[in-house]
Amino acid sequence: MQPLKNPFGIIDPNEKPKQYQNNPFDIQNEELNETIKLGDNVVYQEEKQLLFDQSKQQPLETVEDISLLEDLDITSPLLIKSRIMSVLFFQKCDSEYLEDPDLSGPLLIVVSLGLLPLFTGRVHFNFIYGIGVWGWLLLYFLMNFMIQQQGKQIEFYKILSYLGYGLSQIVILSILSLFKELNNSFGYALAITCAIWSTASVSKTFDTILGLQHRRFLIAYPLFLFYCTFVIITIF
Amino acid sequence: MKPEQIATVDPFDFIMIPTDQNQQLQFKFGNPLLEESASTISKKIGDFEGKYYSFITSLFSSQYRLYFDVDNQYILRKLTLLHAPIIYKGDWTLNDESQKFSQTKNIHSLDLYLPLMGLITLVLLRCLNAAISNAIQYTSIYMINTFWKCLLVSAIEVVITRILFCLFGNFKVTIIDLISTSNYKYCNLSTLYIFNLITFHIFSAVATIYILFSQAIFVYKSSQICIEKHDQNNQEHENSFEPTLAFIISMLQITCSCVLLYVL
Repeated sequence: MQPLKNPFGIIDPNEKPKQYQNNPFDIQNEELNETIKLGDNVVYQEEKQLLFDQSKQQPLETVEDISLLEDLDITSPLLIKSRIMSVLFFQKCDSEYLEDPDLSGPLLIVVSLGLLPLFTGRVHFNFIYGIGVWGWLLLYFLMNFMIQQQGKQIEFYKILSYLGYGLSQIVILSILSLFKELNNSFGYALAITCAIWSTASVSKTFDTILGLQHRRFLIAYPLFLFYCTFVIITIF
Repeated sequence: MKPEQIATVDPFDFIMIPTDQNQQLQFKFGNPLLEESASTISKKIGDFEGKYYSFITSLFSSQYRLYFDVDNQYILRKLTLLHAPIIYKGDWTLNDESQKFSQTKNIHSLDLYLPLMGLITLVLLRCLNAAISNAIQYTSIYMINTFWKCLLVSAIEVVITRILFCLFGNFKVTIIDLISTSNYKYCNLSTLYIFNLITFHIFSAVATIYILFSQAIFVYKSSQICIEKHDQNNQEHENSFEPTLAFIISMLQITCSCVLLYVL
C-alpha cells in the first residue's frame, strides 16, 4: 500500500481540516473551488493558490536589483576593483581590507606584471617573482622588527597583500611601456613618479594599521626601494 | 472524524545507505591506514604551525629587534656622523651598558637599518647607472650579481675582523655588532655615488679620498665600543693592543671599500 500524502496530517495533529465531504480525508478548498482527494500529491497548497490568484503573488525582484555576481555571492572582482581604486587614488581604505586583506588581487597584478613584458619580447618572470619574494621577506622581517617595540606584529599574507596592491601603478607603467619607449628623460620621470605614487599609497596603509609615530619615512624608504626595483626591471 | 496521522515516507529512502553498509564499503574500497596517516600528518602540521608561531614571536621580541629600534632623528644624526665623524670629538664608547640598546638616545650605538638600506641603495644606484648608460644588457642579472658581490665582500670582512678580535683576545664580540660596524660603509659609498653622478665625476678623486678617510675614522672609533665591552668584563687584563686593533680594522674597512669600488 502506498503511503498517503495529506498535508494536514503531518503539520499539526490537533489542527482540524477545513472541510471534508464524504471521505473524511478529503479536503475542500473553497478558494480554488476544488477538492483535494486523498492521495493527491499536493505538498504546498499555498503555492497552488498563488498560481491561480495572481493578485496575491508578491512582486518578484527584478534582475536589475541584484547583479549576477552578488546573487552568486562572488564578490572578488568587485573587491579587487574597489581596493585597486583605493590604492591608485588614495581613497580611504575600508576596514575590511585592513583587517582581512585578500591575495587574489595581488596575484592578478603580479601575473599581469610578468605577462606584459612578453609583448616587448622580454621574459622577466623569474626576476620579478624572485625579487618580489625576497623583497617581501625582507620587508616582513624589517617591519616586524621595527614595530615590535609597540607590541604589534603583522602577518605574512597582509604584507604581501598590501605590497601586491601597491604594484598597480607599476602595472600602469608597464602598459605604457608597451606603446612608448621609456628609456629617456620622460620615462625616467614617469618611473620615479610611479615609484613615489606606489610608496605613498602603501605607506599610508601601513601607517593606518601600525600607527607609526616617528617612523613613517623609515618604513616608506624601503618600500620606495622595493618599487624602484620593479620600475628598473620594467623600463630597462 | 479526525484523520489519522500517517507518517510520511521519503520516496528516496532507497538511496540512503545504512551506516553498517557504509563502513563495509569503506573497508572494502578505502584504506584505514590512509585515514590514520592523514590524521597524523594533520597533527604534525598543527604542531609545526604552533612551533613556527612561537619561533617567530620569540625572534621578533629578541634582542635583534633593538638593532631596528630607530627613528627619524637617529637616522639623520647617524648619517651626519658617518659622513662627518670629525664633528663628534671625544670618546665614543658607551658609558652604560643599557645605552648599547638605546639608539634613540645615543647615536654611537649600533643598528642594522642603515647598513641594510645603504646596501640596497648602492645596488640599485649601480644598476640604474649601468642601465642608463646602456652598459649592460640584462639589468636583473646585473642587479643580482652586484648584490652578491657586496654580500661576499662584507662576509669576508666580517670573518677577518672576527679573527682579528680573537687574535687580540676579544672573544665575546658578537657577529651582529661586527656586521653593523663594518657595513656602514654602504651609506658612504652610496653618497659618493650620488655625488659623482651630480657632479659628473669632476671631483671624484677628492670625494673618494674624503669618504674613505671618514670611514676609517668612523670604524676606528666605533670598533672601540666592541673592545671596551670586553675590557669592562675583564678589568684585570689591560688591552694594550686596543689602538692597534682599531687601526687594523679601519684599514681593513678602507681596503674592502676600495675592492667594492673596483669590482662594482
